Amino acid sequence: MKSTEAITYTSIAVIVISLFFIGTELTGFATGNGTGLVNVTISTSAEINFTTALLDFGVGAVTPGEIAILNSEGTNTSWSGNATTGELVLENIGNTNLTLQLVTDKSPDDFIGGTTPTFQAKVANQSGNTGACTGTNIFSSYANINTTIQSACGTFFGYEAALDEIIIDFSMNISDDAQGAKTVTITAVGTY
Amino acid sequence: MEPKKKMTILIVIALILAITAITLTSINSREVSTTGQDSSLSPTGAVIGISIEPSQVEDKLADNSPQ
Repeated sequence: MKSTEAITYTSIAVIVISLFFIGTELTGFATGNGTGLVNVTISTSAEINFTTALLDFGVGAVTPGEIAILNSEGTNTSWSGNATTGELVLENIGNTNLTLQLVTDKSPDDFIGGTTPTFQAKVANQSGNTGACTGTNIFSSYANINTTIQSACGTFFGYEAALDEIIIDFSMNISDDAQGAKTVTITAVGTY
Repeated sequence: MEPKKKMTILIVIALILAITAITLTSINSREVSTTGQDSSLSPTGAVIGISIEPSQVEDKLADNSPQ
């Protein structure tokens, strides 16, 4: 076979194959009954916000020889200060469900100090927001919270108005050798 | 028309069609992702505070001192 013939046949083969592929991509020209297409893109807006971002247990002293037990639901055993009632309130203010994790910036030793301190959190749905937090919740009852990030709403933390708020209570044990002004930051991490 | 000229035209047509086919195929072959990539939000924080005063130490010396 001459080289020119080979090139010719190859070209024809390329044309045939190309036409085949073009034919599968082009689907014809529609006439009549025209339809319009409205393209709406709804962007995901994911955001969470502590609507109550400060919880102050006030001032007090531990009864000598005792371990004070405080929580934000009014317990103040062996503590000279007032009972604390309150909690942090976290709201999903975006338009998408999230998963939620919590972490602190200090260990109980760094936050409270003294002998064998404990610091615990409890996550629950805000009143009237049943179903706001679903899935794995390490903090379904008081559980240690520390610098290791842990799951609070493992399946989702809802965004719809009726289920977008959770409350976080805290409990701590303080020995009588701890003292000073103490603060710890609670960080909520949402993932979508 | 000369055979050489015919062959050139044929090659040009083949090349144009091949490029067109490749372009159309590649345009339509883009997959649309139907699963969202996990993204973390900027973390939001809150503060817990407490002020612990020194415990009152029992004055045992005073308790044991003779009256």
